Formats: sequence, C-alpha cells, structure tokens
Amino acid sequence: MADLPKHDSPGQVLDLNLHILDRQVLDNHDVPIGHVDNVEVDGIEPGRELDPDAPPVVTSLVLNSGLWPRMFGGRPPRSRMHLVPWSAVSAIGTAIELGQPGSAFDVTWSEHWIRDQVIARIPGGRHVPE
Amino acid sequence: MKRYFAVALGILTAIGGFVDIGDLVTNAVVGSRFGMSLAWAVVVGVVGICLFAQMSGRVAAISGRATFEIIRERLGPRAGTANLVASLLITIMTLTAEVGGVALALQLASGVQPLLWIPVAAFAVWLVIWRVKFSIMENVAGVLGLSLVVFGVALFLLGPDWGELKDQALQQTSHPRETPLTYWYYAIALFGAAMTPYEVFFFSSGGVEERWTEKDLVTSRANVLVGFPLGGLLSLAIAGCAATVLLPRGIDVDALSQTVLPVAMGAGQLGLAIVILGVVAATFGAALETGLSAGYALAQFNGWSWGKFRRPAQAARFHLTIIICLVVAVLVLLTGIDPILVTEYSVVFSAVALPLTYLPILVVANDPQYVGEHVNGRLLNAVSSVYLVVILVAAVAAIPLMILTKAGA
Repeated sequence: MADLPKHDSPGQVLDLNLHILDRQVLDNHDVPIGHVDNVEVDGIEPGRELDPDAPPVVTSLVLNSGLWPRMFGGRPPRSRMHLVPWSAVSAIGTAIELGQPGSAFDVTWSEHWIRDQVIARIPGGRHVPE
Repeated sequence: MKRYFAVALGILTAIGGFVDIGDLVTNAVVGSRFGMSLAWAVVVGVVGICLFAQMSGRVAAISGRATFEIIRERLGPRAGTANLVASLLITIMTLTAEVGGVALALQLASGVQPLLWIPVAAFAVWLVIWRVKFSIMENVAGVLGLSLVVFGVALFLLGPDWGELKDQALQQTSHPRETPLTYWYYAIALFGAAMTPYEVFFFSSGGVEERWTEKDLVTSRANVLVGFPLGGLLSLAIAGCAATVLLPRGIDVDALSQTVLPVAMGAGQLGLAIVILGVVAATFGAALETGLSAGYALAQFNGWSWGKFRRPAQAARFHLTIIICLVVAVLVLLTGIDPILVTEYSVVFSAVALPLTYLPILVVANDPQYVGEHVNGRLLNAVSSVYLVVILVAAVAAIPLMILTKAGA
C-alpha cells in the first residue's frame, strides 16, 4: 500500500483495479446480482491533458456485459451494456452493495426470464427446501 | 452440549464425505499394482486438502465470499475465465463419474444393468438438490458414507502381514511389472483424488449456505483437521485391502466389484452389504456435492444469485446450471462409456487445474480486508508456499506423464 499517492480529500481511497473491477455486486437485500465487468469514466478526452481541478469521474458500473471487450478489445453497443449508475452504490467492502432491490436493474433480466419460463414452472420451484 | 454435537457431526460427515468414486477407484488400483508404496501420496494429498479447505473455509466464514467469487476477483477476466472453463469441465467429469459410480454400486446390489440405473440416480440427485435442506443433505450422506469404515474392519479380519505392508510403504520395494513413470503417474492420480477442486468449492460455499461466522471457525477447523485425515485413513484402508488380496493374486482393478472384493473376503456377506451401502452413499453424496459445485462455480463467477438456502425460484440460473450439468452427465454415461475410466481421467485432470484455484485463496487468506485479524500465520504461509510448488509440479507433470504412460496402462 506504500506507493498509493497521498490524498487530501476525506474518505476512502479505492484502487479501481483492486477494489472495484471484478467485485461481486449485491442488492439491498444482499442478493448477488452480478460482477463488475468494467466501469464508465467521464472526463477523459483523447489527446487532451487531464485537468487536476476536474479529475475524471466514474459514472457507472458495467455489470455482466463487458468481459468480452475487456479481454479482446472493442466496444459493445450501449444498448447491450447493463449499466448501474455510481449513485446507486451504497457501500464498498469485499462486495459492492447497492441501495435498491435487484429488480430495479436490467442486468437481472436473464434471472427473471429463467425463473418465469423454467424454474418456477417445475413443481416445488417456489418452495424453500426442507 | 449442542456445540460438541455439532463438532462431532461435522467430523463424521467430513470422514464420510471425504471418500468419493475417485478415492475408491484410485486407491484400489494403486493398492493392487503398487501395494502400499504410494501411501505417501495420499498423505501429501490429505495435508494439501486440509490447508486448502481450512483457508477457503476461513475466508468464507469471515468475508462471506465463496471460492469462485475470489477466483474471479483476484485472477481477473482472462485467467479467471480459463480457470472457470477448466474447473467446470473437471467438475462435470467428476459428476459423471459419481453418477456412474452410484449406478455401478446399485448394479452390485441388484444385478440390474447400470444403464438403467443412470437416469434414476441422476433424477434422485436432482430431487435432493431441489427439495432437501442443505444441512440434512450433508449429514445424511456423510453419516451413511461412514459405512465405508468396513474397509478398515475387513483389513483387520483379513489378517494381513502388517510388517509387509509397512515395508511396502516405507522401503519402496520394486515392482517388476511397473515402470518409474507409471509410479509417478499414479502418485499424481492419488494426489488429485485427495485434492479434487470441487471439494474446496463445496466446502467454502457450504460455509456460506450454513451462514458460518467467526464463531464457527473452531467447528470448521475441527471438521477439516480431524475429519479429512480420518477420511484419508479410510483411503489407505482401501489401498491396504487391495494390496493384501489383489496384489498377490495379480488381479487388476477395472471394475467396482474388484474394489469391494477384499471386503467380501474379509468380512463376508454382511461386510459386502455394508460396503455397497457405503459406496452408494459416498458416490451419491459426492454426486450432490459435484452437481452443486458446478452451479456454485458458474453462479459465483458471474455474480448470479445462488445457494440452497434460497428457494429455487430465487436462484434460477444456479438451479438451471445444475439441471443442465446432470443432463450432460447422463448423456455422456448413456454412450456406454466406462465410469471407472472417466474416474481415472478426472482425478488426473483435477491435479492439472489445482494451481489456478489454490493461488487466489492463498493470496486472499493473507488479506485483512477479507479475513480481518485471522490472516495466515508465518508457519501456515511457509507450508502453503511449499505446497504451491508441489501443486505446480504435479500440474505440469500430469499431462506429459499421462501421454508417456498411456494413462497408466
């Protein structure tokens, strides 16, 4: 941790690569909803020096839809990315917690689709195991 | 009192749950070909699984994060995906072997063809995963699996030359029918059979399923440090039975019936009935564990909702993964492939995949953000580093040895 730069602003110093990327994301009931595949950063323009007074800001987390481009490059169309705004993040620990239920985010559509079309239709699918 | 009971029950299920089809087959094969001279490989494997399970259990209890969430988090997308693909393939292969093992054991009991038992066994596995509570599932399978202790009883009743078995283990007598390459190939197979990756996925995810906290660390440590070595002793008893009965007669193990033959000779019909019950329980229990582990691995890697503590509808993708894996296992077995053969390959491939699973756990077990004050001590880190080298060497050597020895032929 010695080579982290000193930071004047109060609060937590987070290493994007170490503490945000590839972390588990939980909703407000501790239900896992995805992993952070990538982040969207605002305030960087190609070819322009960074302005120390207006540093780049992480605007959104990209969940479960950015692994392929991270491995092989390229950029998926925005409509294919499941974005969670940074403002929805309520805590960061060994997992990233959101302040809203998972159903508020479109990344959970495949969970809902498989639940409604397959799992809930099998007898016992809606019961707690005994 | 309740606490002691929990510890005792945990230890019993760890013993009963330690042995699966991989241990049953590999130990019998090795015993029938090399006597006890590879006993050291079982010991090395058992110490390894203790280290590994203990660390991942501690991380799960304190941080609530199971093994594959950590693999994804620490290895990143590329190495993480490679590990996921390898681990899933091996876990499905092991699941196939376990379901096949249940069918073979039921064939021994009933005389009905294994091909007919395969769909029945797989359906029963799914039904238990679908409907039965985690703790009941684990305890019943583990306690019934304890009937495999009959291997130890049979060994005593067979009245072997103990000095001879000890000499085989310690003095490394030569094996005229074997080459050094097959000796080392089977050393890796035994190592892989004891240290199967799914056991770690299951153990750490099980900790989350049963909502372990810091208070459960003692229980979890006792389960691992007492239960697994006793399970390893059971493995050695299987090898000892084979070394006593099969080795002198030159019988090769290529079916489950030869694995249990020494028990029938030593402990008679009653022994045979008990050992078949034990084999069914052990393989069925391991089929549950591998099926769940496949679901745990994929769900945790992708951050999906998972776990048996939830209703299936609240972990839909997790349950669908398990169903698909079971269907794949059944389809593979229905081609008529020999489950014993699948088992022999699965234990060796297990050894190949270990480093990528072991390393992230070792790193995180030293990270205070995950385990707080319970980071690894110096001694534990020293031993774990030695094991990292052992695991790497075994992983690198496994495939070349498999090719050179034509898979131990």
